[in-house]
Amino acid sequence: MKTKIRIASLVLALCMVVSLFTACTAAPDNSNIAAAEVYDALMSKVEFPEMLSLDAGGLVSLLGIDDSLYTEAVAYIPLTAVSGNMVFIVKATDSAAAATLAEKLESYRAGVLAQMNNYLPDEYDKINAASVETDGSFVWLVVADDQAAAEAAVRDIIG
Amino acid sequence: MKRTFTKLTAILLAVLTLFSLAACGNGEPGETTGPDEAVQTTSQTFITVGTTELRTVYMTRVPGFSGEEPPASDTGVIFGTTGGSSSESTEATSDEPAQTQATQTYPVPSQLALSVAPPSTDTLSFEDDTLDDFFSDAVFVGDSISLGWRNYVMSKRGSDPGFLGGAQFLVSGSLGAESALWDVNSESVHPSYQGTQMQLWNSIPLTGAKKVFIMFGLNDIGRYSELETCVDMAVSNYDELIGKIKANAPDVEIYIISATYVLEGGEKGKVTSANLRVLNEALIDYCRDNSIEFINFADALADANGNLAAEYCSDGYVHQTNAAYDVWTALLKGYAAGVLSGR
Repeated sequence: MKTKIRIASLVLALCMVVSLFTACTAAPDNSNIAAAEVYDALMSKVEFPEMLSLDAGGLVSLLGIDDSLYTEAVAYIPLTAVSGNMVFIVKATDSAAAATLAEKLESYRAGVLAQMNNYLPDEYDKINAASVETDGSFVWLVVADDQAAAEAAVRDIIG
Repeated sequence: MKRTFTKLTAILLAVLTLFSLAACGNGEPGETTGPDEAVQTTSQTFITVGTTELRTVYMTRVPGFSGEEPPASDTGVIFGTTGGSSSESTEATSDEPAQTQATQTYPVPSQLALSVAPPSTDTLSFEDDTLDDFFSDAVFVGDSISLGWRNYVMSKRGSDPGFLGGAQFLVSGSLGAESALWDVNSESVHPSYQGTQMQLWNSIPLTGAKKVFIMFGLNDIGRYSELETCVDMAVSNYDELIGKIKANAPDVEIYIISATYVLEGGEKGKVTSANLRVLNEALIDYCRDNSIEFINFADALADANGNLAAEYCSDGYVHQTNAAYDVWTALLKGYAAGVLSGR
């Protein structure tokens, strides 16, 4: 009897340790966060030049991002041709869509980077310092004058 | 005797002086014929571009002896067409524009103006929707200047979805007639069509466009050490590019828009208004020889020194403001009205 109690206690303790471990390392659930919330948080902390909002048609036309890939999207490009700033915050429909979105955002980033090469070195450096990020259902690409602040602002809310 | 001789000599000299003064005022173009009288000098150039004959009249005024100053803008560039078979067109005399033609003046002086004037902005009572529709099957191709234009149009469509019809854009910063011929690689700057970078002769057919408006020059004018080489290569590259486009999309109509100029003081290397003017004239010749429409935006955006006017420059260099793109809109819609009316 004592042995059975000891084994049960040991198993219970093991279960508690395992659950504690997985709880600490599980990916944060950001599915209930809206893309617009992330954008608002970003805008409240980081300055951008005058930006142009891209609608679904713009996302297809400029990036080849079809609306079947996402449930929510916030996209802004600079109104001027001489800025590398950009904001793309997208919630993918699933993990496969997330991978496709990341690929298309990276392709767009690389294209703008090439345009700035040997032309606008400051903008080139800014775009070069940025990268496409994925976390849960979120895929995002933000290029800002204060890149560190921008990344922190997004991470603070997405997790 | 001596005194008489001296007097006669003095009289003769006085008479000769009077005669020579009178001769100075006679017959030479651009010179005054007498006190308080201004002379107008006119020169007329007839250029046939495509099926439209354009007439450009340059006038200069010279102040008379009254000391009257010439107007700040001493040149009127009058645009008018004498071609076409529209019932609205009237015969133009050799000295007067036809009654249906719109008259506009720009600050750019005659000696700096291109040999093809900007299009009239007279929309001839066409509805805005009709003029927008003209561009529904258009695609604008160009560099960062056209990229700004694209963004302007997209911004306008936020409140006016029909703005410029369904016009599409294949534009990219740093693009030029030469780089448009490169292979697609990590350094190429071809515009992307739906997210995929591709050469223009492959992307244009995918747009379904029937009118292709191309505007290059700023990224071509400084590629070589000699200006002449820059200009020759730019025209040659334009020709090769158009050939490739037409091979893949034989039904498209090509329009070349002039390169626009640099803000005074913003010149960089060979990128100067003077050099771009040379390129534009070479493109005019090319268009004439190949029955391609040339559309002059440059002079409509230029100041009295032939540079990009300050109010149209957004960055102290070559990029343009919304006010400049308002001018683009007016020129394009006027151009459309002209085509639709047969002007």
